[in-house]
Amino acid sequence: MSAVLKISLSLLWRRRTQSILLIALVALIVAVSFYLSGIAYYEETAIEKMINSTDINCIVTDARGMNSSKLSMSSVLVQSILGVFEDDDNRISEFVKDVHAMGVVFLTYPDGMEMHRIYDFASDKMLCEFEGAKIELFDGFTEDIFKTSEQVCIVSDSVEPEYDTENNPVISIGLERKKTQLRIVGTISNSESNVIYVPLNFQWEKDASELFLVDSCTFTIKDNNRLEEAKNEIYKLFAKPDLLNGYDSKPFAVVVQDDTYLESLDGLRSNLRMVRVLIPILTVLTVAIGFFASYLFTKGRIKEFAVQRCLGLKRRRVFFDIIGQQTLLAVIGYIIGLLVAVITKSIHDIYSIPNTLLLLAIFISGASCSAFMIAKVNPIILMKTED
Amino acid sequence: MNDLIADNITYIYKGKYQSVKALKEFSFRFIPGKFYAILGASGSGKTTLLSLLAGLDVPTEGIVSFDGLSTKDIDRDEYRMEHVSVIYQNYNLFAHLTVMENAAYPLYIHNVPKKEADAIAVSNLKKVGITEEQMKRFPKTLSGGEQQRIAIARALASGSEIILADEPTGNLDTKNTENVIKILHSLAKDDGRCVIVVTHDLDVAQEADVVLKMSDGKLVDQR
Ligand SMILES: Nc1ncnc2c1ncn2[C@@H]1O[C@H](COP(=O)(O)OP(=O)(O)OP(=O)(O)O)[C@@H](O)[C@H]1O
Ligand SMILES: [Mg+2]
Repeated sequence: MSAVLKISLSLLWRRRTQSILLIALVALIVAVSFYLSGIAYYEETAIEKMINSTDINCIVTDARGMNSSKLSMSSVLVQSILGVFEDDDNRISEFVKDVHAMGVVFLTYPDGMEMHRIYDFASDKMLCEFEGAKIELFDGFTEDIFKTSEQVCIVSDSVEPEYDTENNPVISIGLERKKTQLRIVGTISNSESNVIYVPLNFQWEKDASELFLVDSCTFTIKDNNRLEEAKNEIYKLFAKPDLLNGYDSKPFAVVVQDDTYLESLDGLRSNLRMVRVLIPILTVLTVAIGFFASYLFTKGRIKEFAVQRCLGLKRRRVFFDIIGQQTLLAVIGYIIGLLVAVITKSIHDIYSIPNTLLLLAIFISGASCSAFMIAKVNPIILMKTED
Repeated sequence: MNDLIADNITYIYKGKYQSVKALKEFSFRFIPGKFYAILGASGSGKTTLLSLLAGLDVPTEGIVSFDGLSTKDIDRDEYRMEHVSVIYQNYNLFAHLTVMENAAYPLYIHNVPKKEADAIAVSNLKKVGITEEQMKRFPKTLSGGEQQRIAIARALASGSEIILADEPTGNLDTKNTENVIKILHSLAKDDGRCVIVVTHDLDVAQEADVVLKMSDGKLVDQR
């Protein structure tokens, strides 16, 4: 190690008050920067989590947004939501998931029986909420059968089935002149014994499509990142609920339950904006602090640099000597700031490390500016200035 | 050879609003082994002359040359490092370096290993009467006369042929003045260096081989 370097290093120690101040300043900047990016990271993850894990429910209602359980709505609308029609210019199905829909039909045979058309078990509140109701599907069948148009059903386990030629349990039902035999694919214990459940799109006659009425329909937004797009599509087909106007041009409305979601998201986003504004401010501050701190710390030594120059030390060497000292202090400060951040657990993602390193670089370039100015000292001043 | 020559030099301080002609067509040849004293009223251009001889700047017109080379053409940093040492009225020692480190600093710059440099510094400091105990202290804890002697020891370190001193005794009492002048005198007589001292003190001028008198930037008399 050269003697000048040794002397420079020991000077840092002999001037430790200044050195420690500079180190502390850098450590503070670095720790604050880690803290801020920690907050930013926390907010970002919270937002992401919120977007990805929140279910925004949509409920089909009458045009006033009041009734959602006895809609008497044409099945065509549900099929639109499900994307059944390929040539449909409506794209709701792209944006929604978990569609539940149900319609009730009062049968004439067996007398007093109700037939519930359901898209899945969750479509019928009775099926979900009924205390102790337990659904048992026979081997080879799943809930997905309700998404088809098969002539199958599940019934209360107290219903006596008939048997067809292949010993499959069946039940005969009728509505006015329409009669058919349904294959029983499962039973429900503890349920109301006068209800039989069939697929939503169940057809009285095979291969004949048929319109029917739906009493309730709900669904969920598939991707909350595209909420606005989804709402656009929804409101092409349905009205926005409006208490005063009653009937829009559309007889049914959809209530999109996104109020709380949007509010919380707004809150999180404005927090994030705050933090994001603070970061450039911190950067500008760092340049300024880097410049002024090192300027103030070296200004008192300007005569010393002049003497060095007078003794023949090159300007370049004086400059790098100053920069070297400041960089060393700044790096020590950085490490301390990093340690503080580690101890206080403010480092949440490693991407904040390059950012703070950038800050360090900015600090050093601020210091370089002042070192450059200082190194330009004309040693002639030594001949003039009084002690 | 090894003469320091001022050849018809003029120096103008260029200010924002006005320029000051501090030196006007000054010519002189300084030779090794002589002790020169420069006298003159305040503002007569003594310090300016010394700055140019030290290679801190170059004359506006004319040439300062050493060893046959103009200061305009050489690396003046190297010139100051190798050939010239300056001693100031206010000492200009490094406050945070010990007395010994101060005296060894020019050698540090020369990349002389620290041990070797320190040994040379110690011998120079002894030459000017600084004790071993004082060498470990910081300059500010010593008297003005002692500090000026340290500055002289520093000037000796690089072994430069030219020693320039701007009112080196301006802040010293009679006894210290005598002491410092004796040292400077011996540097010229015994070491064969070229010693140029700017002074207001006529007693100091008494000791000189050559006395130059300056007035209004010009050399008006010499003895
Ligand atoms: N930086 C400067 N800018 C403008 N003029 C200057 C500057 N330095 C010195 N001068 C002028 O140049 C002239 C010579 O100044 P110089 O310092 O050489 O005088 P000096 O003989 O050393 O005086 P003193 O005995 O008071 O130290 C003076 O008139 C002074 O005002
Ligand atoms: Mg002067």
